[in-house]
Amino acid sequence: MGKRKEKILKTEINNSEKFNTESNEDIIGKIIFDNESEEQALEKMYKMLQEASSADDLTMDTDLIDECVKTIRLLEGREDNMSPERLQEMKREIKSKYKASKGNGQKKIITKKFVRVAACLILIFSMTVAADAFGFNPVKMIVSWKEDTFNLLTKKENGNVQNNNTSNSSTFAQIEDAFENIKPAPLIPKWIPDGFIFKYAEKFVRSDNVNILLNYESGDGRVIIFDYVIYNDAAKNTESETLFEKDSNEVEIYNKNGINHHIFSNLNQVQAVWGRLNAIYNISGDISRDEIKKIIDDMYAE
Amino acid sequence: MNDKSNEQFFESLCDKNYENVYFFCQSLLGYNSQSADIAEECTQQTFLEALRNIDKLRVHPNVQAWLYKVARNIVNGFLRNIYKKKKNEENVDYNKFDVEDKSYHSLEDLFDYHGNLEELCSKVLEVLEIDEYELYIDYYKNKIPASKLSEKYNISKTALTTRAYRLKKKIKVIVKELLEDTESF
Repeated sequence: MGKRKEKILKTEINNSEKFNTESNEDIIGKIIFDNESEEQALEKMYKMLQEASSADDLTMDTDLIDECVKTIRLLEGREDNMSPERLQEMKREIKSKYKASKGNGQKKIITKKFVRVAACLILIFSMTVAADAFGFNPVKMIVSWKEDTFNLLTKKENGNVQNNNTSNSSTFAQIEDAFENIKPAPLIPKWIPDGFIFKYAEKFVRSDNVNILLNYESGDGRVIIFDYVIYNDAAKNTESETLFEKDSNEVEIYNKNGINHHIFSNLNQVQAVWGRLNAIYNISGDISRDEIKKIIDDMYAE
Repeated sequence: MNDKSNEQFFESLCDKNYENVYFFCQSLLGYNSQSADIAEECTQQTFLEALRNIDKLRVHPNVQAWLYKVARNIVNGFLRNIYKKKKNEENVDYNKFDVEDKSYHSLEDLFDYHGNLEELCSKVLEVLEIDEYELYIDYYKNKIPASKLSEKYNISKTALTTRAYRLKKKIKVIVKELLEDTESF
């Protein structure tokens, strides 16, 4: 037995009266006879890891994350470690990728990208200066669609490519948590077709907007994604263009509460796009047009 | 900062965190046959981001948390693409874990009928790492509340109870191995 272990043992003997301790046989016996479900424990660990890792980098409990990861590895029976040689190899690969990406970044400041698509729905929106009754600048949308080959103008900053990975983002297990403190409160889904369950929400906070994604999934792999872009005052006087690919089926305008909802399809998925107050809504999923209309109807329901 | 000191910082960043970030990515993805390769790719992307943000990281108050945050976003982005492209229908199902049946029914019987429990238990305790042994004494033996131990170990209460839970699992594994060894003789 090592010196430190001996020291701990001595302290234990000194403390035994104070703590009225059980024998090691009793304690280990209890541990052995504790028949909790490994599967449930594992599920709990994964959930805990998801929650702990959804914090921002200033409040994140990295000790808890490390504990969860180690416990998951133990429960999964994974105790292999990375060899020092493999680590060296990885470092070399990262540095070489870094050099390559740096080189590419300096080549082009503005690139014109030609995209040939079957058809497109073009959505141009702008923020006006005058605030509405809610004190927010509502989004004004101009929507058009046509079949063509488009020039997409893509701007890149020299050597400093904006990367969404470093934006302030979080993951949430509850929809309400993702929308906390967002005013006016956006419409949230109240009805979802049978078989779909809410998986998680993601929130990306950017300088002039907040992007929230709600992910639903069915047991057979079908998905529904609610994509919200909620603009703030920093977006005043801005104009932006968003392009949605669509198939040859026509765009259907579904009017609800005086708002035009543009429903179209692409790659067997149905999508709906509309603007309300300071937000752009986009629903896409492996569902029917009738189901997407019912989702929209219920979002407005009191 | 000059390139040389940035390079040294990056080297040390990788040495300290690469393995942790890799295991973190793998845990977020769930353990299955494909997750190791994807976790490796996500980890590389994370450290590539670190290299791009090296000046910022050198003064960041919690570098490990920054790495975890970026890794989480990359993994989530990957999963989102999977959802969108529906590739998971055929090959990848990240929500299913191949959990083996690790029931301990026979272990209980073996433990119950073991001739010398005192010797078996001291062998178990000998195998524990020093930090695990200390936690065993504090948490299981002396039953010091988790709130107090979290102060002693300077980690959150949830992190402490998770560590104690892992210790419990490890003790089960050790007992099982020792009893299996005994049986084979």
